[in-house]
Amino acid sequence: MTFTSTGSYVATEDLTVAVNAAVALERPLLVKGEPGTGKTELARQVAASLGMPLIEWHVKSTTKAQQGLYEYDAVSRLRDSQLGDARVNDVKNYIRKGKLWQAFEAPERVVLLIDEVDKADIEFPNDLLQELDRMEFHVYETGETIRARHRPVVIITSNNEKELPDAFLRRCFFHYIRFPDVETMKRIVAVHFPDIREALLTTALTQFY
Amino acid sequence: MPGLKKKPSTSEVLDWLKLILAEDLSPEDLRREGKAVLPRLHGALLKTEQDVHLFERLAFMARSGR
Repeated sequence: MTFTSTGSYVATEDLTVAVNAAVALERPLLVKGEPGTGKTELARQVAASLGMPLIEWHVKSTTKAQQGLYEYDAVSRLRDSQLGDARVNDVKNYIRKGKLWQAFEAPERVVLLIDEVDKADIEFPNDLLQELDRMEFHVYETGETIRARHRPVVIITSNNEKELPDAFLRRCFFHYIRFPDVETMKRIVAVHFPDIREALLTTALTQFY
Repeated sequence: MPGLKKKPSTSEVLDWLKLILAEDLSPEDLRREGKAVLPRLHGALLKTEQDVHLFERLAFMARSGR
């Protein structure tokens, strides 16, 4: 079970090494690089290549770590209690599962993409340390502990807008996607434009570089 | 190694060794060959691209100074 280049995605050798090392270590793969270098696409390709479903969690500036675990919808419960809805007696009806929960309870091993982790505030990665390390978390409202049935392959991307804390970095396998050199760029172009004329490609790339 | 933003910790060295064992690399594999200036599987040790660049520069300088 290893990751390689696919028909629609060119992975350099060091990138495949990094993906397979992170899978072997059972640690999150932290992928950094300029926008447009294929970080998000990498997760999709890893999922396709390993034959696992992909769960995507796109982080925004307002995202809290807790939202990835679960959210307790107290407002709905209050409303239902006033309407005499029977569901109100079971708190479980008001727990909304987050992406991490979905990944943990999946019947098979999944790829979990945490996209653009640097968009959120600095506490966000720190708040996920325990959950990603031990692959379990506690639900206070119901008293249950959610454990991963199969340890997901976690891929985290960052655009480098904020520094990530050391404690978080320590737990990840790091890979920086460089801007492709001419040879790699030719392979990438060949995947996207299979019919391009060689002479045109060479001239275009010479002008570009 | 001075000047690294994020110095490798004990647990990271252990991770690195775990990978080397998993890949069944020999000591010869680890000695840097030709073009590769970074250690094998350096993603377990170097966690920012600044550190990766710094390491590359220092390795390059060490090589040309020889």
